[in-house]
Amino acid sequence: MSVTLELNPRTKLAALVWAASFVLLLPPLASWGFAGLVLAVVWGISPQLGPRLLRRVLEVTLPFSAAVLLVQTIFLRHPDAEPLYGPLNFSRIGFERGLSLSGRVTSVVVLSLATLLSTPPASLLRALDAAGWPPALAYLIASPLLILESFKARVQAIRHAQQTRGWRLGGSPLKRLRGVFLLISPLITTALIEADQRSHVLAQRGFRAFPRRTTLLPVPDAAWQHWVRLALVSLSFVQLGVVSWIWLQSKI
Amino acid sequence: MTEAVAVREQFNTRVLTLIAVAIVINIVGGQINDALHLPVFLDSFGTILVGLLAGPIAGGAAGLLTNLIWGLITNPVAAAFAPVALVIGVATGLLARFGLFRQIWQVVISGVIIAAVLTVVAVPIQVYLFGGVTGAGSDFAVAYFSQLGQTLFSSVALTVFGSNVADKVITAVIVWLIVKRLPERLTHGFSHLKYTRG
Repeated sequence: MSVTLELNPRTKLAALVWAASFVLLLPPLASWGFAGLVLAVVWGISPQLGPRLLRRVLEVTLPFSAAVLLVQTIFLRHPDAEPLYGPLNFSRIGFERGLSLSGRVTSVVVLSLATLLSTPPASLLRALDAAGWPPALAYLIASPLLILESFKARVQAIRHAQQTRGWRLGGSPLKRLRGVFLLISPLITTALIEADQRSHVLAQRGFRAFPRRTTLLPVPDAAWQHWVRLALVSLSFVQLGVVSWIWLQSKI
Repeated sequence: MTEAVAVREQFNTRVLTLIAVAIVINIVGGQINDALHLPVFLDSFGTILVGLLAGPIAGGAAGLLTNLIWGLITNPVAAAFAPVALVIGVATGLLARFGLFRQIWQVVISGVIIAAVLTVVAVPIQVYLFGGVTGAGSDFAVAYFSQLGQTLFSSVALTVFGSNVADKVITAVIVWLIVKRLPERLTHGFSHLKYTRG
């Protein structure tokens, strides 16, 4: 098992919080470099995870980065805008801003997807439970991750069922709006039935929202990871403070 | 009853499981929108549902957690807008509490109020954290208003309100219609529903 998979899920979440604030301190190109570095490190320590991670990162960040760069560089009005064609302008300030923003978002996407792909939701749930987090919070974070795929499949099933009754995709906006009701109404009703059943099962097992319990199968954790988590979260606050201070200085 | 006890009682097992499925409904709402190609978001069905059934605190929690989990799965931009989703849930619960989810015309007004309130929270995040654009289709509306001579702040405010008002009215009306028709066996234990059903 690789180091990425062995880390306690809480340590990975703390690293994510730290990175989200750290990238705010980086200049545009450095944030892209940071994203590449994180990707390379994850790929190096877990060759199975690397290609999957790269594919997901590209799927998420390419459209986002293209749109942000285009709008910031060509469409938004910046002080240094030079006429390009018709209402279009070229702005170096806009280009740098777009580059910075997309680099920051890409960095966070890389880390969040690495965390998600290397952490089974059940393991996250047990780690939070073992750490004494309120069971309600642990349940609310991990449970949606566990049931998301089944709900996506359910939407498809509802769609197919409505199509067999004569409903068709497309048409006028009003027809499509009616389609929203046809799809969402059965989804909400079946979700409420499932929530009811789940609450009965949880109640039968003695689940309570707040009291602390021990876990039967604890996720491995080490004392050093506790200190790493503390340091990462503390650093993220310091970084956010520095960013706020720099921003306030620029406004004075 | 202290505030803490009141909050704990709002988060009973039934409400917890409702919030969990509501988070997933919010996320797959985007999938439905992709299929129908409507110029709206449809990502607040679950939040408004929880706000109506279980009140403002549970509604806010559903919204907040939706965006945080969404941010973790695919889109960190969504995580930055988590306070906006929280406000949608809280506003829905409060509007229902004040009786503004009893008649269809009240629901339409509530949708407009929710859009106005979320605009107040969303605009500073979009302007100061993202420089006005977030990679969504509505960025071109921001650029359009900017070309017309509006400031970045007002361009973003006009775009956010304009793109959300139809979405929130449609979402609020659809959820209200569904909630009104729900059988008693699915809604027992959700004390906040009495403010909507009367």
